[in-house]
Amino acid sequence: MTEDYGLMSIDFLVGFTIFMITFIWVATLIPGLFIGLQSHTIDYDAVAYRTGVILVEDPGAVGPLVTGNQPWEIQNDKRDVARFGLAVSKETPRILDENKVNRFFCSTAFSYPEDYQKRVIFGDIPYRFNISLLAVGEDTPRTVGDVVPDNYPYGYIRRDVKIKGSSNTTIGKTMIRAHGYNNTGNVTFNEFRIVINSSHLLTGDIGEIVNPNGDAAYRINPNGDRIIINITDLDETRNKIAHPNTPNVNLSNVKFYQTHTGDSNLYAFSPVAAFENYVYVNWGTTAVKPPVDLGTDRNLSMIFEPGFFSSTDKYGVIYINLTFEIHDPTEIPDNGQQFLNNTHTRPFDYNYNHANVTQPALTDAVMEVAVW
Amino acid sequence: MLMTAYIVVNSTSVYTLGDTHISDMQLEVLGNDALNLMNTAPNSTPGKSPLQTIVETDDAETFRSMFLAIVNNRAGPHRDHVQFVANVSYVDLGGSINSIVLSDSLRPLVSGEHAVRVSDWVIVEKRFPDCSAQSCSGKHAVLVEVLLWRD
Repeated sequence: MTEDYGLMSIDFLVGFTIFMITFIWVATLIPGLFIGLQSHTIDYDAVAYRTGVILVEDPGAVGPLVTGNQPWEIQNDKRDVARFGLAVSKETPRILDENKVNRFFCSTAFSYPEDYQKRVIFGDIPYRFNISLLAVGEDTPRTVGDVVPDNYPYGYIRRDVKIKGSSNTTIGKTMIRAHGYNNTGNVTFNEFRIVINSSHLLTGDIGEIVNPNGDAAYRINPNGDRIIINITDLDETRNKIAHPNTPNVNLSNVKFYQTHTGDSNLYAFSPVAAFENYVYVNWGTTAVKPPVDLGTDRNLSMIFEPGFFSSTDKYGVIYINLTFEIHDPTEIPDNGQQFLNNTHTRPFDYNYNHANVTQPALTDAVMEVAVW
Repeated sequence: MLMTAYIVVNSTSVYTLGDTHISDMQLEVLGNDALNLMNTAPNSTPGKSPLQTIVETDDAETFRSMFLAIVNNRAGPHRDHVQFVANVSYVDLGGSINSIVLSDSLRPLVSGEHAVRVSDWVIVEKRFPDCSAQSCSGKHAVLVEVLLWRD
């Protein structure tokens, strides 16, 4: 039996080891060869993250044809919107502008997916996506995009944010008495003036916050913010003892003036056609254009939508002059009455005084971005 | 052969260095967002941010409810399950750096969880750890660090 012993050849062992090492090395390299082919499946998270950063930390941008310093959310033509971004400013990441949020989720202003693909998702690959935003106190999230798939991988990011709301003021009887806004004689046409000093609002102290270092989180921006001015208790400004009958009161005219930077002269301007209906009477839901009958309740709201004052000088001063016409047909002669009037005092200043204006507040919200 | 088979099969999945950090990054972003929002005053009324007040008063319960409400909030119907432990680091009168527990989510951190750390500087009008024996006046910077993980 000379062939009954089994010894493995050293040559075979060396050769097999080299073969296995080479095989493992090649097998490890193979997936790398296909990374380029399947890149759209492995960067969902990266795209979601990038989209979240753009939305939460960037204020957005307009196209090159837009003149002046106008934000994207007040552009009527969507072709002028170059990039979405919901932040109030670059200095205030995580604080979103309410007006930008409303415009971004407006399904009539923008179409999914084409308008969003090239303004916030970017890239050549036609990703599907879903962007949702839920503010504290709301039951239903605002959303744009497709339904997030259950059985398909998708990239995801969640951002916790705050939404900056609008400012508003209610000029009621307490404020009217405190400021002496009916301290006048009997006249048929009573004028009430409101001043919005853009320069002070955009560059000055924010109330008691001195040198706020450009902190836009709490700023009132007349060029881009919604401004709401309510005037209530108008009948309380009359002298009811001298004039017991209920007169007819009209808001007969509203005139707008502005000054320019370095020029104190007043220049009249008119709202563009899209904004000419801005007056709401007695808490109604339909905006009308002056002149308007104030009825018997005598409450008035003026809602200046974002962009209303976009044509004004960014660092100028805006004056709003309201003219109330008052007639009592039972009085002969009809010489008018005491009414809301501040021509003998100072214009009502829409500023950072908490006693006069309800300042913008920040509301917690959560944003989710899913990309697949 | 088993080892070889394992390596070969395992090599078919593309797992880059970046992928290993995606879940960490998502949690880190959430934690940073939450701390930043808590350190932001809700309006321009002169006052302190909620986080400043919490740190000055050692209010563990308010921190717990506020932090969990923010990091676990979702736009959909289901809430997340993030847990946390928060510490405050400070420089004491002797110049030493110390740390105390500010709050936690009542769920102990054991060795199994993969936690990430986020932090934010907070300016407080209090000298840590205790200002009863000294003056509390003056502003001091403390570092709020939060270790957070998912259940």
